[in-house]
Amino acid sequence: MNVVRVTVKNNKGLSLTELIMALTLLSIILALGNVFFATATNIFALAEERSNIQQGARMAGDLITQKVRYATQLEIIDASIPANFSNTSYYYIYQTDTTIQYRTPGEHTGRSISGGIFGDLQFDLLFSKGTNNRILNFSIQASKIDAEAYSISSEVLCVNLTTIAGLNSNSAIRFSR
Amino acid sequence: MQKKYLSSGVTLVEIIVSVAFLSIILTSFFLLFTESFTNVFSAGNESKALFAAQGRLENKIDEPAPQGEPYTLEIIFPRVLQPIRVDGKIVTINEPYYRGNINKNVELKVFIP
Repeated sequence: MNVVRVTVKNNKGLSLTELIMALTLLSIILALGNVFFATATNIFALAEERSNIQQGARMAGDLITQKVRYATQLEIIDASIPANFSNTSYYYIYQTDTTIQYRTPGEHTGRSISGGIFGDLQFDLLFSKGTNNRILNFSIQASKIDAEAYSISSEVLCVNLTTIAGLNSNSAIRFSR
Repeated sequence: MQKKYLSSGVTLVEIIVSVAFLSIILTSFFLLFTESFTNVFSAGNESKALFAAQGRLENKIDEPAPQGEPYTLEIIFPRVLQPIRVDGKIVTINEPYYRGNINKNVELKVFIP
C-alpha cells in the first residue's frame, strides 16, 4: 500500500516555492546580465566618441603641419572678416562655426579637414606666431556637448619663410606654396 | 511513511556555484571594455604629447646651434666604395604623458647635420 502511494505521489510537479525560487534566481541573473550589457554598451559608445574627437583633432593637426611646412608666404588673418577670403590665389585654413576648413586656390568654398562625418562635434582653431619669426603655433580643440574637450597644440617650422605676416593670433591663415 | 525524491533536479548550491562562475566570466569581459576605454584615453594623451614634442622639436631644429649628441651619418650606395659621411648631432625630445596612472614617455629623435 505504501509503495503504491509513493509512486503515485512521485512529486514530479513544481511546488510554488520552487517556482518562486527559480524565478527569483532567473531574475537576478537577468538583472546582472542587463546591467553588464548596458554598462558595456555605454562604455563602448563613450570610447567611440572619444576616439572620434581625437581623430578629428589629429587629422586637422597633421594636415596643417603638412600644408604649412613649405609655405612661401603665410599670413594670419581675421576669420570674422569675409573680405579676407576674397582672394582666390591663396590657400586658406580657417575655422567656421563648428569645423576646420581647408580651401585651395581657385575655390570659393573650403572642405572640412576635421572629419565632417562627426556632425555634432565642435572644433576650435587658433593660430599664433611662435617665439621665432618663422614658427607657427596652432592649437586645436575638439569638444562635444556633455563630453570632456580634447585639445592638441603644436608648432610648425615654415622652412621657406623668413617672417609670418599678419595678426599675432587668430583662427585663420592664408598662404601660398 | 518514507518519501523518495528524484535527484535529477538542480540544487541551490549548484546554481550558486554556476552564478559565481558566470560572474567571473562576466567580470573578465567587463575588464576588457574598461581596458579598451583606458586605451582610448591614453592614445589621446599620447598623440597630444606627440604634437607637443613635435612643436618643441621644430623649435630645436630652428635654433642656430642645437644641443645634441654628436653623430656621424653614413650613407652607403651600392657599387660606391667610399661611403658618404655627414657629421651632425642627434637631438632628442622627450615628452611625458599618462597612461592611467602610469607615467609614460614620447621620444622623438632627429638628425641635424
